[in-house]
Amino acid sequence: MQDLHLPDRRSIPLLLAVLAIAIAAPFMFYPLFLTKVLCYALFASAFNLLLGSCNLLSFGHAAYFGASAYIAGHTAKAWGWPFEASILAGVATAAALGACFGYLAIRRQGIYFAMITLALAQMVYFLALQLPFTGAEDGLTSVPRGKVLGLFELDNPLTLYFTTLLIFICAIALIHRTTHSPFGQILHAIRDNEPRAISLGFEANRFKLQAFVLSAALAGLAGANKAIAFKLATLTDVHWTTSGSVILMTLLGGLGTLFGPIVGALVVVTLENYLADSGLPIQLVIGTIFILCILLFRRGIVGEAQAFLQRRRGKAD
Amino acid sequence: MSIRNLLGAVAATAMLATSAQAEIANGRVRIGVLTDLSGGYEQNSGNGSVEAAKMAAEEFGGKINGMPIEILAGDHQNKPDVGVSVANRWFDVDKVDAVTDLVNSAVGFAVLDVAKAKNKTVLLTSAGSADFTGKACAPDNSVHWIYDTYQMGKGIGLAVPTLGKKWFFISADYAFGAALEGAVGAAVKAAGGEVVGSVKAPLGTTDFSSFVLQAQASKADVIAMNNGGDDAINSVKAAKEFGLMAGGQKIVALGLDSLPAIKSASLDVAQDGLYVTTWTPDMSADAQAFMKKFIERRKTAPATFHVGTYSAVLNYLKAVQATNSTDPKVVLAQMRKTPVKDAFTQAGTLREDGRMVHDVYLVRIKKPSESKSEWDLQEVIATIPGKDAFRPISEGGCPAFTK
Repeated sequence: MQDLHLPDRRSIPLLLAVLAIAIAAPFMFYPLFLTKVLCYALFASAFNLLLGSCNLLSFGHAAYFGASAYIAGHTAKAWGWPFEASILAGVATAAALGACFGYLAIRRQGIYFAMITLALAQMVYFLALQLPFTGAEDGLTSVPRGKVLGLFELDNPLTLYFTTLLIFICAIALIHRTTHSPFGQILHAIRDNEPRAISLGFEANRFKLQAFVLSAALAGLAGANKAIAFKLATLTDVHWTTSGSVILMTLLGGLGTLFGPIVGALVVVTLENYLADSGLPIQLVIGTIFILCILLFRRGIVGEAQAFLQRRRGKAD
Repeated sequence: MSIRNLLGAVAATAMLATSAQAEIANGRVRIGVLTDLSGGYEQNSGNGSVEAAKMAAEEFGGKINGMPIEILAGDHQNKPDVGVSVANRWFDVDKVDAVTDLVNSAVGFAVLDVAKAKNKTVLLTSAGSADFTGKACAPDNSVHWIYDTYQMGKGIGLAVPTLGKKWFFISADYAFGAALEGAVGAAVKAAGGEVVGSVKAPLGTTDFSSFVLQAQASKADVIAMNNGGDDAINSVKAAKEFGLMAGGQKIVALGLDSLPAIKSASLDVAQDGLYVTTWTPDMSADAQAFMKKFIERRKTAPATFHVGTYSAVLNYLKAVQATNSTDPKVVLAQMRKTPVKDAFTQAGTLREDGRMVHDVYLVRIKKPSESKSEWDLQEVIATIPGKDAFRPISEGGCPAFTK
């Protein structure tokens, strides 16, 4: 099966165009909104790494996103850590959580795997509700943004956006590299036929755990970045509805594609924000779109577009 | 337009936004009602708050000193990051002068933070944390108009001696429930009463039977439900089903605190419940007139938060009119000088830490036989003066007043 999107000559103009749009965007749209899109796009991409490459449906990704947001927020606010250190502390927390939860969860498959990840994520939610430093339902607010490398003030929305964009591009490059490395090939092999991969001598669980930890760490990176950008970490970040909404973003955009989760996040975050003062019932609109997506274009927005292009190319050949 | 021009424009607007405004900026007064339009808090705030803010604007004929008043509505969906995004966009792009409602304290704290950084006004009405005039207080940017958790506990506490000696608590298992339990518990002990037991019920519990049975077995005189929203309705229903009221135990339901909530719980279920409220329609002709007008427009009685939001917006606009300014510091100083007398309260004053101090009431929910009309649901059994109900500045720990 051919679902690898190597950066061949054909896709380079496309990548450059996307990059140009990303650089020009903050001058046309509201930078803080775009920063939010990037954070959720990274979160969805991290989730997609697990679901797309390993077929592991984690229903508790908000735990890594939220835990990292709390840790990054707390280290920056209470201990005065610089921006980079706070982000790293958040990522490390998410990776450690991912290692523990993944170790337990990958022993089961399908719905059981999903339920175990959900249960463990709920534990994180209740910890966030009860631990003294999280501020319970009032949330952890007034997180200072600090400076990048001690030089550039992150309170400037443009600095904030471009810093986030840089982090985002690095993370996406890492995800792309991972899925197209020998490691990624092994994950695909395990996804497509696990017993066969095992019979070839691969320790399936070890590879799955590695992918799980990587996905959790990247979700943590998104969460930490969001906490600094929005100056807050709250229960919403660890709530199961956030886990649900990242699944929605990934499926809407296109499962297993590089750009799918990004497009999905863009659509959902845009709806949430720009419908907020429109008077329309937002959840109903998003729900309807999701149902239409499931009924009419199951491969998601990017998935359908790719399939369409492939069909056309097939005809031309 | 070149990128350099754009950058210049961005920088210029950023400077405009941060410099002090000596007059009504942008030639209009914009107030954003940021609330929950689609979730669990909609009934008590939501669209009703938007309507109430519009009613306040209409009292000025929609214009102040010739400049239009505009009311915007936003749905924060109970997500603080959505609240922050909308508030930022309102302040920066739409040039909103003040944001109000902010039901859900997490959203309230987050938006207050943004307003402080951008020097805008926040009229906190539906948010309840006492920290808004405590460690998070922002006297130059915010007012806290209706209620807080300290006052809710204190109000019940003042009524303790008349209610009974032995108390049992069913508390929602989160900070709001714990804060109420702490406040009421302290008042019970101070009045020589005794707390014979307490259970914590998770937020969103639907089956309260085990908690209610424990309360019944405790033989307490008074059972206090330290919860809110649907939890309050469900816990009182369970108490009714197991015959606690019929057995002579009194129920204090702190969360059944508005006319629409009582109506949805039904008088049959909620009868004889006690609660502390900041507003009741019987207290003045202004209040009754407002209620009548509100019912005409919304087909339902106003909740306390609706009246409070109306009052906060009304008084904000009065101050804007008097000072011809939308600068938070100038407007709030004017609001502190002016006594509050409207449909919400007849004698309110805005304290320097941003707390609006007004009388609160202990009320009893009527029996179905006592109710004479659709919205005749409660009677006042005690009035608690504002100075006793609200926390003194000295105990709040507001950084601006602790030297």
